[in-house]
Amino acid sequence: MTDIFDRHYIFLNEDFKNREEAFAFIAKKAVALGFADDETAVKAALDHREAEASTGLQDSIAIPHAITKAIKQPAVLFVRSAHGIPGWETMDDQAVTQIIAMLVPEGSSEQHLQTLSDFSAALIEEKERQALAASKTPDEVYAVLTGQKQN
Amino acid sequence: MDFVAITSCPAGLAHTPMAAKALEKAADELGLKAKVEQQGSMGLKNEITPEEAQSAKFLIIGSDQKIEKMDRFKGIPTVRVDINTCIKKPKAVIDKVSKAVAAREAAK
Repeated sequence: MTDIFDRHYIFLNEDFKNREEAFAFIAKKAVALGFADDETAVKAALDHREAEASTGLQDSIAIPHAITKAIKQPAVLFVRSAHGIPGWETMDDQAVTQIIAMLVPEGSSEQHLQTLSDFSAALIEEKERQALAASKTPDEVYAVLTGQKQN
Repeated sequence: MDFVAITSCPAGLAHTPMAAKALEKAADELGLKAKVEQQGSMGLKNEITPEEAQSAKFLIIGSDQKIEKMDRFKGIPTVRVDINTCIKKPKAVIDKVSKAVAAREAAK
């Protein structure tokens, strides 16, 4: 778990005008953090998946994901936008502000795929989505997304 | 078995497990016995056996993807629904499909 998601992969002070900007940011961070070696390829993979169907969910959450050879290590980034991102279709028409981005190497191990699956499956719980929206610090976001109880 | 379901999405990574969990949870809350198979990035997860398939009143396919091993469900009423609807309104999906299947049977 810790190698896939970490407090350092949480970015709470961004503000995107559109999905393009958000994906460019995620791709840039993917390379900067050493998960991928090609920014353009990561962005293209995110766009490619989005073109099949929007990854917007409910309660302002979206779960874009990229599967590409350019990604060398699986990781989850959490990015929050101060303003809702227009033009990103969601299930309840609430604009996306909470982005859980999954970076997936081609041919990932079952263990890694399972961990990534668990991230999204947890978002079925309304309590989880509300806790995520209410979280203000990287520690809080980390605790919510990894299922750790805060005292 | 009240019903069986299969979820599948383009990457098979995020929406597949979400929809499966949503349907399982909804079935539980509705007091229905169900099994939900995921056809995703890890292959077939929680695979439905031919016996389970044949004991089900109906099959919900939460996907617009090609589904593997459909021969298990020969003769079982099958309804395809949007995977996002399974995530957002799983109870409504089960209810609607259940009624549609009942109506279909009654018309026979």
